[in-house]
Amino acid sequence: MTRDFDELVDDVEGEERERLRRVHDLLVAAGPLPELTQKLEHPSAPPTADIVFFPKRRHAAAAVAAAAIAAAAFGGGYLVGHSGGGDEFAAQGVVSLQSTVNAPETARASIELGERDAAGNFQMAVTVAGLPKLKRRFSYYRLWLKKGERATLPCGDFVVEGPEKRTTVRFTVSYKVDPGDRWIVAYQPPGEHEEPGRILLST
Amino acid sequence: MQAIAALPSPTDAPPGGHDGVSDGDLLRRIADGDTAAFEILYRRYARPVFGLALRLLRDRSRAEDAVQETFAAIWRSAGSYRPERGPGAPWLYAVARNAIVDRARARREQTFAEAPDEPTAAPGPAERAESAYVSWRVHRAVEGLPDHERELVELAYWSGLSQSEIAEFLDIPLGTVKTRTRSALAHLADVLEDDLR
Repeated sequence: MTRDFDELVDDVEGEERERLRRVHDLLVAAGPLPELTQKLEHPSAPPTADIVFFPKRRHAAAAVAAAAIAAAAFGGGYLVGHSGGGDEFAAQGVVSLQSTVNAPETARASIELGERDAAGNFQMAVTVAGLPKLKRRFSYYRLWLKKGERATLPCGDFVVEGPEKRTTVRFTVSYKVDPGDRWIVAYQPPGEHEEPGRILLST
Repeated sequence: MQAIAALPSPTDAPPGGHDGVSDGDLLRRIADGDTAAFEILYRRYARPVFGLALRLLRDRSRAEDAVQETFAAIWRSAGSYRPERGPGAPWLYAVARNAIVDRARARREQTFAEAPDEPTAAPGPAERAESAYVSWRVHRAVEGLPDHERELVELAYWSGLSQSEIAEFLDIPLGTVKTRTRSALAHLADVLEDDLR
């Protein structure tokens, strides 16, 4: 390995020589980058917004059980918000959101998707945990459906009691969900309604 | 001259490739769910992130996990990148460092009971972080050099070849090797000015 600066640069003098020598020292200190191991040769498939579909015509309790199975099968991360109350919600599938660099590590959300009605609307139950309570008046969290570069569509707004409490909200939307779509939860400061604010959770 | 046989061809694309797409553009595409952009960014940054993780964690297996966590975080967080606040590389470094520090913290919690009482001569976390950051900056700067200069720096510093062997390997005069080396170092000095103070 060439570590002899004088061998590499033998025709520069003065300040410039010292400047190059400092770069030389940095290169020697940096050393070569490591070769990737077999495990890292190819990127892991990026996390997807894949919906885990449940068997049809399940009621809430069955959906909870199915979600638990899905959570175990997919390494966890699903939150299911049914409290067991009488309000029936027949979830057809569930998708999970993880925290981005802007959110506390423990922040999570799951979206349970209901059956589409004859008109094309469907309900979703969004369960969120780990997000801080908002202090600014008129600020809120908003769930968006991001359809590539084509559009970012609002699904609904919510606030939370605090990071320790789970919050479940219901929205009704009519959007078609296509492969590759992503859900995001963003903080919307007062007056910012048209575009996602700081993104906190994402599929 | 044994090392020559193990070297890549001089015309091979460098790790990560030079495809002319900025990090910021890739991040914008990743935010839109573009898996091809994600793969390009992975090719470009997997080795620097792995190097960073190895320097900070000093454990190959944990470093591998940290790389995977870093890229999962990049996928989720790409929409948070704001080009008006600066280029993509520092943002990527911050994401990578956070993922690696999280992993280091988990390890410290696991091994807390076994922590040594005596101070050691080994570099502490702050020194390792500083050295890891400088290494990251150096490698990003080398990546930004013109191909003929980058190739020469990699051969001169990290291949095990002497200057005459480099001249033979690249089939260029020794004087050209020296000229290009000097020019590459000058370019790097411009880019790394802050690190040289």
